Amino acid sequence: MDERYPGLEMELDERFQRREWRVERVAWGVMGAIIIGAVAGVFGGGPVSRGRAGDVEAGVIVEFDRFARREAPITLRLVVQPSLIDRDRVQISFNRDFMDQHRVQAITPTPVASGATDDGVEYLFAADPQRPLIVTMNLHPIHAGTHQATVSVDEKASVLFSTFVYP
Amino acid sequence: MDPVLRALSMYFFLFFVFRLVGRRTISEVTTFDFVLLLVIGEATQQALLGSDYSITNALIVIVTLIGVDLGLSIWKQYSPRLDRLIEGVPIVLVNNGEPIREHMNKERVSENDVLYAARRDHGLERMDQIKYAILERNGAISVIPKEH
Repeated sequence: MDERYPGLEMELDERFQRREWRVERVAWGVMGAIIIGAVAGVFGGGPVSRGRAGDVEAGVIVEFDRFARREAPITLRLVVQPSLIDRDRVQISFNRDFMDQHRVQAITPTPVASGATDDGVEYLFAADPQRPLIVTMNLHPIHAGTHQATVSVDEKASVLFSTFVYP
Repeated sequence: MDPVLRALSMYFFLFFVFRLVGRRTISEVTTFDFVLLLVIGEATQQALLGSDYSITNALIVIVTLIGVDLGLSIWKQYSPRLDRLIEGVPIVLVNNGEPIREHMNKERVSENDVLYAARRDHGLERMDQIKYAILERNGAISVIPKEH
């Protein structure tokens, strides 16, 4: 019994209550941070999440999502510069890990051919040496975790990047 | 294994969120609180079931959720520390007709809430007729009237 409240038979614990209030306030801050982070794209789909690998000199630019969520669609955009295109076909290959972690929903333009290689999957696209080749892939990440991707074009240039998939 | 992990993670996530937002009983939810609960349920459903709509998956998820709840309630019985952590502790809001401002502010309870509980449960008209008002662990306000 608490002497401040005579006659009240009740288990009071003000120290615990005060600690709880403190934890509560911190948790509210965390919730606010989660909302701000989500808007910024820490959980995918925002300015922080937009990734870019490769450059014009290398001949390939890959635009990808640094952060993605499991089973939420993402878009991968590849731009192959004309300097890398010397015939009417371009071969783009992806490493095994990346292909295992993603389900390909669509590829635009549609590849002329595709096949498995020793260390991944390759796609063959029709191309014009006068113009850059832009390929868009719609993907669904299947597993959570960090995934390393290697994209190579005609074995002349390759770009490395990594993405993180939230559960 | 996947449905069990899904159910466990959602159980503990929802538990922490609702525990840390503060208490409020189901009998005192406003219409909007109720709508909010429905929407939260809808958002949770996807995460709980994923793309697996089988009866087996639903069964595993339900058994896991009820299992954790049952397990925690049994554990609480033996551990007063865990009991306090999960359910919180009651707190006095009004002492001998005097509202304890700090407690009311921190718990976001207004004098009107206390007076409402006093009217409803005891037909009291004024704050000075209240001996104690206590915010219980389940979020209800108990009022003990002064003796005449």
